[in-house]
Amino acid sequence: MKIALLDDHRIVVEGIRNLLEPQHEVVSIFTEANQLFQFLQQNEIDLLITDYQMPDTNGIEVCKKAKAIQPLLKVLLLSMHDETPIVQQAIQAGVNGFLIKSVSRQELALALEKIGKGLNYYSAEISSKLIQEDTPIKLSEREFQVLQLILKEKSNKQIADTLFLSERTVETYRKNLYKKANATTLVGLVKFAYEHHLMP
Amino acid sequence: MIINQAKDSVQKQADVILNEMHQEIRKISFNMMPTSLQLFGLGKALQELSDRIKQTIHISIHINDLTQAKRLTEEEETALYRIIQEWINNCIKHAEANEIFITLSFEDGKYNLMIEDNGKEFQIEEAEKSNGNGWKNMISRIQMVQGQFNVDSSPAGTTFTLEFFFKEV
Repeated sequence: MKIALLDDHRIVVEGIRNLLEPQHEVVSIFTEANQLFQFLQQNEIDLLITDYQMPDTNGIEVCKKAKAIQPLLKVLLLSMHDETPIVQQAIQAGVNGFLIKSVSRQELALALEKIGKGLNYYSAEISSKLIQEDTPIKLSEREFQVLQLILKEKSNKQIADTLFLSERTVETYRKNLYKKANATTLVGLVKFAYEHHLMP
Repeated sequence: MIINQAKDSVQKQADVILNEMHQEIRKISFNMMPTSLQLFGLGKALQELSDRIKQTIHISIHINDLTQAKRLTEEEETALYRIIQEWINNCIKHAEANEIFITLSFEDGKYNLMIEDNGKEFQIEEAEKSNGNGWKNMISRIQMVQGQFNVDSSPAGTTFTLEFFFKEV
C-alpha cells in the first residue's frame, strides 16, 4: 500500500513514518495541504493519513479535495479531535477511517490492515459518537406547567403568580413553547398539545 | 533478559504517563476553547459539553436549540458559552441538581437563553457575597453582550434567563 502523510507538525509526520516503515511504503510526507494536492496530481497512492486541524484547512476539506483528484484514494483521519459534529462531518465526507492521536501502534496497524482490505475503521471513542442520536423535543417540568396554564387561557400575570415566576420569565416560556410547537396561534399550540398528549 | 524486562517496564510506565498527559492536554484545550464552538456554533458545542459532563457525573442535560443553529459573533458565542458553563457548574456544585434544561431561541433581534434546573433554591445575595470569581466573571460577560438576566428560584428549582440584542453576523 502506497501511503502519504499530512500533518502541519513535521515531527508528527516523521514519527508516523518511522512507525509505519518498513512494513508499509510511505511514499511522501507533507506539512502543507497544497503540496500534497500537487503531488496527488502526478502520483497515484492508496492511502492518505491526515491530521484534522491545520492552520489553513482541516482534514475533512483535505479528504474531499484529495478524493476529487484520486477517487479511489482511501483517507484515514488521525486527530486529537473527537467532537461529535466533527466525527459526523468526517463520515459524511467519506473518510475510510478515524483514529484519535492516543492510538497505539497496534491499533494503527489494525486500521491500516482493515482499510487495505477495503473496509472502514473507526476507533472505539469515535464509534461511540456515531450511535448518539438527536433527542426529540422534551419539555421540562416547569415548561409543562406553563403550557397547562396557557391552554387554560391564563395571562402571563396569572401564570407568574401561580408558579412563583416573574412575568418576564413566563413570557420567555411562552415564546419558547410556541417555537417548540411550531405554532403561531393558541389553536396551533392546542394541536401540538393534543398530538403529544400534553392536554390538561 | 533482566535488562529487557527493565526496558519493558520503563516503556510501559512511559506509555501510561504519556497517555495521562494526552488526556489532560485534551481536557485543558477543550475547556479553553472547544473546536465545536468555533466550527458549529453554540447548539452543537453545548451538546458536546453536556456529553462530556455526563461522562463523569450522573445528570441529565437537555439542550434545545430553537434558533436553527443561528451563528452569533465570536465574542457573543464565547461569552454565552462561558456563562452557560458557569451556570451549569453552579447547578451541579451548589444546587446539586440532577436535571438541567437549556433552551436557545431568538425573536425580533433578541437572543434568549434559558437554563432551568431542579436543584436547591438559589440565593442571589450569597452568590454576590462569594469570594470566588465565577459569579463576577459571569456578570462581566453578561455586561459584555449588554444582556439582561433574571433568576426565578424556588425550592423546586431555578430558572435563569438572559436576553440581549445580538449583532448580525
